[in-house]
This record gives sequence, C-alpha cells and structure tokens, in this order.
Amino acid sequence: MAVRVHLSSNLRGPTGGIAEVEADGSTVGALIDDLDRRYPGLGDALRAGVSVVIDGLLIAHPEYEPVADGAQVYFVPQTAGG
Amino acid sequence: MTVTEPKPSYKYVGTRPVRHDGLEKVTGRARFAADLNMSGQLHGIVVRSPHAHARIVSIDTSEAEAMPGVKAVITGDDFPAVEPGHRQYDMCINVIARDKVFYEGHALAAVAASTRDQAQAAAAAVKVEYEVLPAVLTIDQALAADAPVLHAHMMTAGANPPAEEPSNISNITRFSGGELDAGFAEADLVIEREFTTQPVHQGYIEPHACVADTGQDGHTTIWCSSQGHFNVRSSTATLLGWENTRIRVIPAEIGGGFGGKTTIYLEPLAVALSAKAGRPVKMVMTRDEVFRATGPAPGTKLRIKLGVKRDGTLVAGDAYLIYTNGAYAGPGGLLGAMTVFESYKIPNFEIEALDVVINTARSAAYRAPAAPLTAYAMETMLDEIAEELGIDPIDFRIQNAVTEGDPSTMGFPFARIGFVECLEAVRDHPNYKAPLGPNQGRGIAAGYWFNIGESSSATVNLNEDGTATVVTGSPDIGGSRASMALMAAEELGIDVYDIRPVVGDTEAVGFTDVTEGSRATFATGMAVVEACRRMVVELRGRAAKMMGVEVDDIDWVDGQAVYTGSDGDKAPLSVAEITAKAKRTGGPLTATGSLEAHGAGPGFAVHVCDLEVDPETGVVRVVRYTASQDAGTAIHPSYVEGQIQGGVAQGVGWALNEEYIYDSDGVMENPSFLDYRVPVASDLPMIDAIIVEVPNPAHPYGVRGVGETGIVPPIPAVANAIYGATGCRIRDLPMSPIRVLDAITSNGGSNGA
Repeated sequence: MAVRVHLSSNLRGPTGGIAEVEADGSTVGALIDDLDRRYPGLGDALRAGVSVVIDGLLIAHPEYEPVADGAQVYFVPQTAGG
Repeated sequence: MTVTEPKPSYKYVGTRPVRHDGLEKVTGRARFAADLNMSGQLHGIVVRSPHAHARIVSIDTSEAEAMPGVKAVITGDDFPAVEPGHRQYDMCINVIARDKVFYEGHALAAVAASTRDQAQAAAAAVKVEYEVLPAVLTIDQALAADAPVLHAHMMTAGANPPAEEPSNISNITRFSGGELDAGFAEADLVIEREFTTQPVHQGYIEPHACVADTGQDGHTTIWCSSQGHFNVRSSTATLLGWENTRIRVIPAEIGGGFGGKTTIYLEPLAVALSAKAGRPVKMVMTRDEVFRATGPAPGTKLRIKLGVKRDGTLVAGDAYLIYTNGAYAGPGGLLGAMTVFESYKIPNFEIEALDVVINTARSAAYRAPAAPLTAYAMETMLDEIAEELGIDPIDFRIQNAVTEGDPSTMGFPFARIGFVECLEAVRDHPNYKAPLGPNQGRGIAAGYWFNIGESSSATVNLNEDGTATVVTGSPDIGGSRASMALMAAEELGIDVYDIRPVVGDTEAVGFTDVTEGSRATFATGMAVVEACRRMVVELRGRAAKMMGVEVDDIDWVDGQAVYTGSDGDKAPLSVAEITAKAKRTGGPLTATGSLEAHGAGPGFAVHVCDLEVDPETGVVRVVRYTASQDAGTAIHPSYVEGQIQGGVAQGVGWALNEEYIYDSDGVMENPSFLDYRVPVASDLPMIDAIIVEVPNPAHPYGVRGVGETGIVPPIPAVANAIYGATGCRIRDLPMSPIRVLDAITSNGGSNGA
C-alpha cells in the first residue's frame, strides 16, 4: 500500500535532503520499517520522539496507527508543553 | 465572545456555574500539600550546594546523624547508580547529585528529624568537601572554545557532521523550506535584529511540598501537589529503582504550576528518608529553595532576519536561536525553532536552534515553553516592518497569517485554525481605537502554541439518587473540575451541580499523563465524554429492562430514557429512577473512558497592550489590555477568560521586571519575591478577554487547549507599546525601569532602528 510520507526538514539527513518519499505499510510502524529499509538510519530517527500528522490529526504515539492507501503522512518532532 | 461558526445549542457547555471546588478554596478548607500532617511525621530538609559547579569529594554525615531528633540522613549513595544513557538520567542526578553539583542549590543530601529546626541544624552539620570547578554562567561562556564542559558525555545531538568531542551544546535543530537566498533577493526590505532574554521563574504561589509514608511492607504513599501524580509515581519509582505498584500518589490541591510542576524534586527524597526512618516525612521548600533549585524558563540569545516585499508579503526568514536549559539538556531550542515562524506564511526560511547547558538550575516547562521568546523577537520585528511599510500592524499580520491548509514550519498543512479570527476580533474591538494619552503607547502582538493530547482516563459513577461522580486523573490546575462536570452534564443530562468532579489518586483512576500542553480539558475531557457515552448506552439498556422493551427503542433525551417504539406510550425514565432500581437491573452503574487523545488543535492569540511610560523614571504602567484567543469551544467561559488573564499577567511580568540575577560565581542574588518582582493585582488593569470560538474538529465539543497560548503575545505587545510611547525599541529583557530610562536618555527617544 503506497503512502506519501513527508519529513520535516530536521529528519531528512538519511534521505539526502529529500522531503517527500514513498513508503509501503498499513500502519505508521510498518511505514517506518519500510523507510528504514529504503533509507538506512531513518528508522531510528523516526522512532525517537517523533509524532505524525495524518489527515490533519496530530498523533503523538503513532506506531500502531492505521494508514489508509493514498494517505499523506507527515513526520514531525514531538512537542511538549507547560 | 466571538463565535465564528454555527454550533449546536448546548444546555450546560458554555455556561458559567460556580466551580465545584470554589467554596473550599475561598474559605481555606482546601488541603494543599503543605497543609497535610501525619501522626509521628518527621520533617525533611535538603542539603544544597553553595557552588555553581563542583566535584563532590566527600560527604560526611556522621555529625548530623548524631544530632538531637535526627532519624535519617541520605545522600546520592542511597539511590541506585545511574549512568549516562539512562532514560531519565538528567532527572535522577538533578533530584540528588552524585559525583558533581551543577548549580548553586543543587540537592546533594537530605535530613529527617523530629522538628524542622532540628532538621535544619543537622543539614547544616553535613560536611561536604568540594573541588570547586569553573562555572559556566552565560551562553557566550558555554560556547567559548575553551569553555569547561559540564557533562563529559554530552555529544551534540543533531550535529552535522556528527560531534566527535563533548561540548555544552546538547542539541542542534534545523528546519528549512524554500530557497533562502532567492527569498531575500525577492525582498524590498530586509531587517535583522538581535535579542537577549534572561531566565525567569514560573512564580507559582505554592512552594513544592510533599508528605511520604513508607511502610514496613515496602510500599509508600505520597501526598503532594503536582501537575501529574502518575508522573510523580513513575519518576519516583525510577529514581528509587522500585516498581510503580509500590507507590501510591494522592494529589493535593495545587497552588499554581504553570509547567514548573511537571517534574519532581522532593518526592524521592521524602520516600527514601521515610523508608530509612520508618516514619512519615514531610518536606516543604522555602521560596529561596524554589528559586534556586526549581524551574526557571530558559534564557536566550536570538537573531532573526526577515525579508518582505513592498506590498507587505513576507518572503524570507532566517533565525538563529540559542536557548539555555540550565545544567541539563532541554527542549528550548527545538520548541523555539518549531514556533518562531509558525504563525506566518514565509515561503523561504532557515532556522537553526542550539540548546546549551550552563551552571544554573535545570529548566522546567513554563506555559508554552520557548514560544514567548521567539514571539518577542518576531512580533517586534513585524511591528517595525509594518511601520516601515505604512501598513496597519493587524492588517499586515492578517495578510501573512497562516490559515487552514497552509504548511507549518514542519511541513504539515494546518487544519482549521482561528488566527485570522483572533486578529479580526481585536481589530474590531473598541479598545483598538480608544484614544491614548500623553506618554502612552499601543502595542500589538500575536502568539501561537501547539497544544498536545496524550493519555487520559475518567470514571463515571452514578449514585443511588441519580447524581454522579466523575473521577479523572488530571489535577485541577485551572478550573478543569468545572469543565469535566459541564461536559458530563451535557452528555448525561444531569444538572451540573448534581455532578461531583473528583481528582482520583494513582490507585483510583486509570493512567493519566501529566497536565501539560493545555491538555486537561481537551484530552481528559474526551475521556469523560467517552465514559459518559458508555454510561448512556448502559442507562438505555437498564431502562429497556424496566420498560420491558428492546434497547433499540430507547433514546437518551435530555437526561431521560425515552421510548420510541410503537407499543403504546411509556413514561420516560429519569436517571434517578433508573439508578434507584440499579440492584434489580444489573448492579451499580459505572463507566470508564481511557484514551490517547489525537488532534489537539493549535491555539492562537492576539493581544493589544496600552501602557504609559514615566519619562523621568522609566516606570511602565499598563493602562488597558485586550486579549483575544481561539478556545475552539469555551466549555466554561469564565475559566477560559481566567487562563487568558493569567497568561497576560505573567507575560507582563516577564516583559517588565522578572529575571534571575547571578553574581560572578553563579549564586542567585534575588531569590525572593521582594527582589524578584512579579506583577500583583494592583499593577494591572482589568484585562479584557475576547474568546474566539473556531471549533477543533477533533474534539467532541470543539475544544482547544487554552492554558498556555495567552502567555505568548504579552512580551512583544508590551515592547511594541513601549516603542509607541517612547520611540525606543528595547531588545533585551526585562524592560525594567532602568533599561527603559536608559533607552530614552541614551537615544533621545528615537531608537527606532
């Protein structure tokens, strides 16, 4: 299942600066596994304090979050607050 | 209130009942942590470092242990060893130092004795031999080529190429978009400015306090005030090397936190002392300790360059941000980078942010961490640009404001947000056109904060008489009990005063994350709604049994089970009628909701500050203040207004007076409210709060968190107003009388450039 994955600019080191990549997976965790195969090292970056935005919803702990075919997934740094 | 979209007609949501805990608080009956006393309790006192940076050569507790009334003395040796790489290493060595102290006031031992005086005397008798090390007290010192390195293991995360030597830079964050050089080439006007700010404290009225009672079975109970008692439990367990199940944390009322009580300081010490002494131990910080050893928000050095076209379109932004997080790694720079350009459409940008460690107390969160400082820089520069271009400052912001679908700094498109609506609400308010007097100025500024979701739990219990108890795991730090009761009332159809909202302890309710990121009414409110909806399903089932009909023929309407089938008329059943027969229809009526809340809606705010500057003294007096903020849906408008007003008050203090002052050895020189000046009621006018409601589609009632955004705009709003009154742009905080006077006299009142 092909999904467009967007990486915030601080996460693009393993992709050589590419902002938008394609990945396969029915969950965010599966996407990360696939991305790590395509861009070694990206998996570690995406598992360390990263949230996703899917269809406008900010999801802080997305590993098992389902991803629909054709979805746009944005990986962003995890936020905190006071 | 400004409502921007049609919304359902609610019976309870949006009303202003007296808060359920109000009477207890105004009559003094509410129990805060320091109010708790137990039979046989001891008093704990912390031994703190007088040095900002030193190696601990030895600690001799023998004399202290022999003193009258002393029952226990502990040091770092009484806790499991931790090494760099441990997931909470910084927290562990901050609560009690091991081989080094990293700031003046760093805890390194603790004493429990029968009286507080005895404990203080014994603490003074603990002999510590230090090897004093050079202290790193400023950003410039931390970044100097020959700077002493605080942590030998600190390799800069995010460095490119990867760091090969340790340094005082814990993290580098970079964001970019578009083509920066091309963006600036497109600009008709380019300005670059630098700013400095100092650490400030959250200034909560209630000092940290707790009581711990450890039994012979190895289990302990902690009573304390915090922003999250489940976090107190897990952090204390981590530090002690215990299982969570050995620790029960009972939340006391909280006398202010503002982010500073999202971490722990005393609890593991109290537990360890109690375990050693076999008695309950009470610990209460003095204000001096609160200032020296807890929670300052970061200081910063900021440099921003902006490019804009003659028609007012922002085209380029370049930000270099340095945040100090005290003596340990922290997220200030990251959060600064995530907020600095977030409110505006800037197609070409680069942001680099450094997090730097220095020998001051470990930074803690403070309402919208990092954002007020980037807003200070950004919003004062936007003010300059608007003036230069001859555009009204609100129109300029509306022209460049992000709206639904625009990309954030991190790339994702914003969902429905209310920034433009907040700008319009202020522009259309009569205060925006109110006449100004001599030496008065008006300043406009906007602010943004993400807000977060995280995990929450709620339990709804229906009582035999048809009333309800709503138990949640979120401490009530800003009126959330009332919010929970209102949402439950709306769902169940029970009068809001027939609902008792309760903050449950760690063994009475499901796991709930710490209250941060303005998440309580949003996320815990979602858990309450979920529990109530399950309860309604159960109520319909019980009513169906009582009526002898199918559950599908029962609707829940305004607090009653209503039969909708075709088998004749049946009288509706109220909650009280159903609960009265609960034993005969299946037993007690209880429902729970536990969830990980997704879709926290970002918050925006726009403030207008009118102030007067005394040209002879530099004293600034705020004379009128107007603040709009998007609350999504205001569950209890009075407490939304209160959050806005509180944010303004704290932000005005941050702007005008507050700062940590250290001597050359890193010893804090103003650790009291006499010398650290926070605003009091007489310093401020009534703050006009305008609630804007652009519902958050991810919440059942459209809620956005409101607790933090209100502190983001005040610093630049004040700075812009001072410019309006004096013609002076002040780019260093605080804008204290001496600094304002210096700006006026040094620059002839025309330091606009």
